[in-house]
This record gives sequence, C-alpha cells and structure tokens, in this order.
Amino acid sequence: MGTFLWLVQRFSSLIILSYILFILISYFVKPYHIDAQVWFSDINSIQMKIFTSLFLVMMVGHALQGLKAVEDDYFTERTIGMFLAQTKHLAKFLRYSYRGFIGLVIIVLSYVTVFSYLMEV
Amino acid sequence: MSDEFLLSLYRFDPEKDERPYMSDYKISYPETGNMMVIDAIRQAQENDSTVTFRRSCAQGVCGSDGVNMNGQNGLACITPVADVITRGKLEVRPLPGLPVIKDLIVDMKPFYEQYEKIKPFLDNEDEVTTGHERLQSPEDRDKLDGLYECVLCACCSTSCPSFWWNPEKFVGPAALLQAYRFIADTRDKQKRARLKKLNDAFSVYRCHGIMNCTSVCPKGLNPSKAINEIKKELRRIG
Repeated sequence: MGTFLWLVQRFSSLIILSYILFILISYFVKPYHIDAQVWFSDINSIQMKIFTSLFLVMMVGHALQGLKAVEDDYFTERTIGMFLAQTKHLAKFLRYSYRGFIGLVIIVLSYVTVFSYLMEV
Repeated sequence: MSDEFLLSLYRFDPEKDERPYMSDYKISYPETGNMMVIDAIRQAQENDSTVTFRRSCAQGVCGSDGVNMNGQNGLACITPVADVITRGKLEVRPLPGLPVIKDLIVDMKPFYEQYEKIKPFLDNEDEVTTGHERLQSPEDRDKLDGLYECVLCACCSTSCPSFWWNPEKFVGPAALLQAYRFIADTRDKQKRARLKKLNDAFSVYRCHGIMNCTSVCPKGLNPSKAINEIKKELRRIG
C-alpha cells in the first residue's frame, strides 16, 4: 500500500505539472488575451474536458495524501496536547471537522466541475 | 576567548518538580582550552550533585550521552563545546520527542520498540555448509559499510519530526538504517518479508527526506540514504 500511494503521488504530480504547463504555453501560443471566444471554445472542447477532469482527479488524489499527512501529524492528542495539555481531548473533534471540511470542498468542486463545466455544451 | 562560559541545563525531577526549568552554571575552560560538552556537564555536577545525566564510555562508542546542545542533537562526549556554543552560552536539553525520566535522561523505550520491530538479527535457516560461519564475498560485505556502525544513540530519530509526531507507526531513521543493514546483507534470507512488513503508509514512507537524521549523526552515517535504498527496493518488489 505504501509504494502504491507513493506512486500515485508521483504520477499525479506529473499530470498536474503537464496540465499547468499546457495551459501556460497555450496562453502564449494562442490569442486568448485578444479573443476570449477562442479560450471558451478550447477549454470546452472534449479533449480539454477530459484533460481538465483528469487534472482535477489527480489534484484531489495528490492533495488528499498531503492533507492526510497533516492530519496524522498535527490533529492528534500528542501534538495538540503539546501546545496546551487541557485541549488534547479536542483532537478527535478537530480531526473529524478537518475531514468534513475537506469532504465538503471535494463535493463542491465535483459539483461545479460536473454541472458547470462538463455538462455545459 | 573568555575563561568561562554559561552552561544552561534542562532540569526536571518528576517526583519534585511541577514543570521543567533551566539551571545556569558558570563553567571554566580547562587550561588546554579543549573541552567536550560532557566535561562541562560533569563540572556542573560537581557544583550541584543533583544534576543527572547518562554516560558510559565517554568516547562516542556506547551512545549513552545523546543530548540536544544549542538545538542540535549529538553525543556530549565527542562534541567540543567550541563547536556548539553561541555567544558564550550553551543550552543542553534532553533528546526531543522522548519522555524525560530526570534532567537529561530520557526513556528510550519508544526508540527500542522501533528497533525491535525491524528484527535486528540475521534470519537464515539454511544449513551452514562451512560448519561454523556463513561466507560472504568481500563485495557483498562492503555493502554493509555505513550501516552496521550505528551505536543506537537515538540522535537521528529524535531529530526527525516524523518520529516526534508518529513514533508508534513511523519506524524512525535509526531503526530503518538497521533494517536496511539486514535487507542488504546477502546472508539474510528474509529480504522480501522484511520489505513487505515495511510497505505501508507510515513505516518508511513517512520519511519526507528532510535529512535531519544525516546532519546530526555523530558517527557520520547516512540514514536518509538507507531509507531511500529501502524505498527503491520496495518499488522493485512492487
């Protein structure tokens, strides 16, 4: 499992990098700053919808691992108790709140992507 | 150079003190000018017999006197005061991330539990054909250099944030260095089993390669490199 997650993180970072580079290079190659219609037509093409969806899935997969590491390190009784012993019992509550917030962000992001982008004609 | 410097020692006796505090001692340099941190602590103890610390060989071999000196972990017996002192003051604290028993003495149990996890012994049930020892080529033996010399002082593990936050799940640099010592040993027959046991999100992969372990190792070893070698082996077996 450890190696699999490590590979996911490395692979996803390559996809993220290639998407960002593609967008940046396109900006200089295509006349997006002159004609916004070109941008809308390109970003709404089926190829870009697939690429953008892949980018977002990879971004979520990549970010989740980093966010999980933050949770494992800092939202624990040990770490919270280190700063203020009386607050260590809050660790579980903070951990679930943190997970809930991340889940909410993913749901909103998915909703916006599906209904305001992928299903847009 | 001044004849004296200020040694500030971390003090905590759980039977008496509610919380830890720092005690300052004026320490005189010896006439030769050379002084190890352990000598300074001993001089402080001569003035205050309640100062408690752990030591044995005083030559960097036993690994007993690992402490934190002005923020840097190391062995007090082989660290010259001149190397760590800042503006005439030297603060000595116990190794971070381990429970304090008294003053500079920490409870090494969490550290030894990590060491136990990696099964630090040759595991080979094959018959010994030579009658008394398992032979190894000089080239294979060379692979163990830089791995077997660890004295288990815990300076590396206790300088690692991943160890501070997750000592129960992350194996720690010292134990991982030893894990690789047996993974790399051609006489050991449990390479795959050892690797599989380490293949989770924490044991090895919680190392983010910040290399604190390598920069503080008093024996000049490179746990970070050993951890990377383990990661390479893990990817090789899939």
